[in-house]
Amino acid sequence: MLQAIILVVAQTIVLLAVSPFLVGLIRKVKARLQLRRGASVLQPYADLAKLFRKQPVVSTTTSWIFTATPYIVFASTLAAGLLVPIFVSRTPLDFAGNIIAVVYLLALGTFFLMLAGLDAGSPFGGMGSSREAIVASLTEPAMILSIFAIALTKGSTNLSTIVHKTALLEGIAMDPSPYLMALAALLIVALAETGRVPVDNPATHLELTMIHEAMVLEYSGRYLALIEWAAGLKLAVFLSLIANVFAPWGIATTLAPTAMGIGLLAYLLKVSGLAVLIGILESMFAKLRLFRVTELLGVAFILALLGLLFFYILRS
Amino acid sequence: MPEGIRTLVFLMALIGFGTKAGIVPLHVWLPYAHPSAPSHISALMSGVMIKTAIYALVRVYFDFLGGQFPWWWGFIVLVIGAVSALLGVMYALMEHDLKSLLAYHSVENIGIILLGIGAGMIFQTYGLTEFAALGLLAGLYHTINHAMFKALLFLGAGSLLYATHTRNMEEYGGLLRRMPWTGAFFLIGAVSISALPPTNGFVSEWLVFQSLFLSFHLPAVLLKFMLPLAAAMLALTSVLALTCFAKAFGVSFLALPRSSHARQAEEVPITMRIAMGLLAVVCVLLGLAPMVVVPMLDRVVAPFAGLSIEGKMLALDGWALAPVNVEFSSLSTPVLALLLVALSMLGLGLVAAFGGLVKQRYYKTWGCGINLTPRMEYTATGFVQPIKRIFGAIYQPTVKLETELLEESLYFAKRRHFEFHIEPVFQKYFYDPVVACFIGMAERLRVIQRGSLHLYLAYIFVTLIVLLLFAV
Repeated sequence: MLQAIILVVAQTIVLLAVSPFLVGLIRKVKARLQLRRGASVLQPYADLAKLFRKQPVVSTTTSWIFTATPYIVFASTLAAGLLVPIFVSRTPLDFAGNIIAVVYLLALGTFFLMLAGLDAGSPFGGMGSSREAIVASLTEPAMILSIFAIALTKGSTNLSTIVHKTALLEGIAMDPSPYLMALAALLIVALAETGRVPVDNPATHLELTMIHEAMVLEYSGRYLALIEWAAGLKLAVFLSLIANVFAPWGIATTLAPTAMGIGLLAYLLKVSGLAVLIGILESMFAKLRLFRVTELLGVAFILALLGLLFFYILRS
Repeated sequence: MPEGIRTLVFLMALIGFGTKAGIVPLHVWLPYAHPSAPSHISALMSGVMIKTAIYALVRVYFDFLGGQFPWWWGFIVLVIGAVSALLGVMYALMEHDLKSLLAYHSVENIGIILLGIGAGMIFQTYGLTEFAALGLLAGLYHTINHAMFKALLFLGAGSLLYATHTRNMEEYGGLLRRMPWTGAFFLIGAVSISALPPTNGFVSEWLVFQSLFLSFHLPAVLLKFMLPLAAAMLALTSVLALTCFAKAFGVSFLALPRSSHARQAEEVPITMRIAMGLLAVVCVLLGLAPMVVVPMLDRVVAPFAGLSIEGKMLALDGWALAPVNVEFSSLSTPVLALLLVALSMLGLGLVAAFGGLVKQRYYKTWGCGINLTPRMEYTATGFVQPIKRIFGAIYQPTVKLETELLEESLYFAKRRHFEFHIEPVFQKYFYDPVVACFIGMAERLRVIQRGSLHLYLAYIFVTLIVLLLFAV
């Protein structure tokens, strides 16, 4: 019990500490590719510290939903992160929810963000919420199917079991095509859900294009800090999910201190690598028009479906 | 019973009880009937009455027909469930009459229930009784949950109607400040119906997901493939439901009041609040205590499936739900709820640690230099416009925009008139032709109705002769 609590606390701290770094790393990679020096990768930490100390301005139009939302989003995203194996393959909270619970915990945050977007009465917020609804609804089926394709190969929908079995090389299918399809689908889903190019641009405040930024436009001070941190956490959750489901190697399968040390190191390397990849992808592509996003997410859905189909065809 | 008769019974029960339950395409009556009743009656209609059809379907298939059926029966129920769920929520999204919106959500939730029952029937065919019991249990769990949150939401809609005298969502707005209790209860209902953790809707939808995922045990490749596809449709359905309730709650309760009705609204009397409060508490409890609900449902399901799965559903002394085995999947809503509370506290702690509790300042929303008015807010119509456009193939929307320009300039509009309609596809292409056919037949038969008493006497005489001929 005590051990479990220590592990949960450790995972919370790692997630909280790593997420601003990932955001900073993506920005740095983008800056370097644009031949700029760019801010330090530690800049997001400084931004958070600054925001926490600033006086928040709250609209007189808003209700308690507006001030409660940052806490709910922060808590639900972090809770989702605690269900995903980070540096130990068997997370103590694994029994509390499988992959469906992770998806729906993230949806809980999205729901309240959409409400908060509408709460201030500004048309920008409503626009952001409305667009977020589109992205969320179209990513979900692709996400569920791609995860299911992976779950099939391991006979489990519990993330710890999937990661643990893969790390010990159990039940690895000989043909990698179902994995590759699901990986491609999940990458597109991750880009869409975390509001990255080509679906959304986290660096813009142009009203014609913004989605996530429009929704949280009215936030300032500590509320904005929590929202930004939660957005970083969501990125960390998706990157951890992809890294540990598809390449869990290095993760600690036992609770020995050295194994956990190696696991932590491997985790940092993997998510940093994925963050660099996202930075490169963001530099390569232009943002898609909102109504073209459906095609991209349609592709993700088809890929996930093909992954499933391949699995059954290769098996039979 | 011969096989042909059994198939006939299956189809007739599906059509008959399906019409009562509101499955697509037999749902067209429901969105008209349920909203027209007084709200507390609507709550009973959507919450309880359509469940009698589910009860009857389960009794007929699993009890009267002995739980023996070919695979395609379950498959048909599953497909109808998936289609009803998706189309129900899609039409709900386009509704701006709060009660009609809720009525369409009944179609959606009946679909989710049928997904569970259909999966159960398919497993039953292949002798996978454990999974059959799970599917059935998931469907029945959702039946109870839907009764609770839908009744709560209809009572909430009734309170809004009572306070504002309108059902049109576009005339609400800012009601959370004027009606804090109704708003809070409606939010609990909205979170539950959107299946967000740790509420009751989430638990039952999660169980439906699990029963669909267990399809990899089935021998038929088609079914192995179709059940996960149904799960994907369920995922789409539940996010669209979330969108729909973000719209319903956001437009009704948040931001500025959009009409004088909403500006003058007052909180409803205590008796109305108690009714909603009770249902809200039940919704929360049904979500947090699946270990109490599952054994009760198991007693219902066990005789049909032939075995009790209570022991296989609960793990860790009842703290976690683990359908069939804890390795495959597990869920613990009490722990998730605790986690959410603890992590919110952590958020508060971080705020206190890093910034101290800086006093917040209140100021009006920036409206690009002019004062914000309700006319600038996003409307319910605007909110779902992208969805209408993306799923245009289903909605077949017709948009009419008339602009009356100023005489002096072609660029300034004096008046704009905008309207849009959603094509009621099922009514137009399914019901209308049937009705037209019957009316046409009646028109033809009218030739024998001439208004002459002698002729009618002759008819009676001829009928008598014919009957006598038969009697001989």
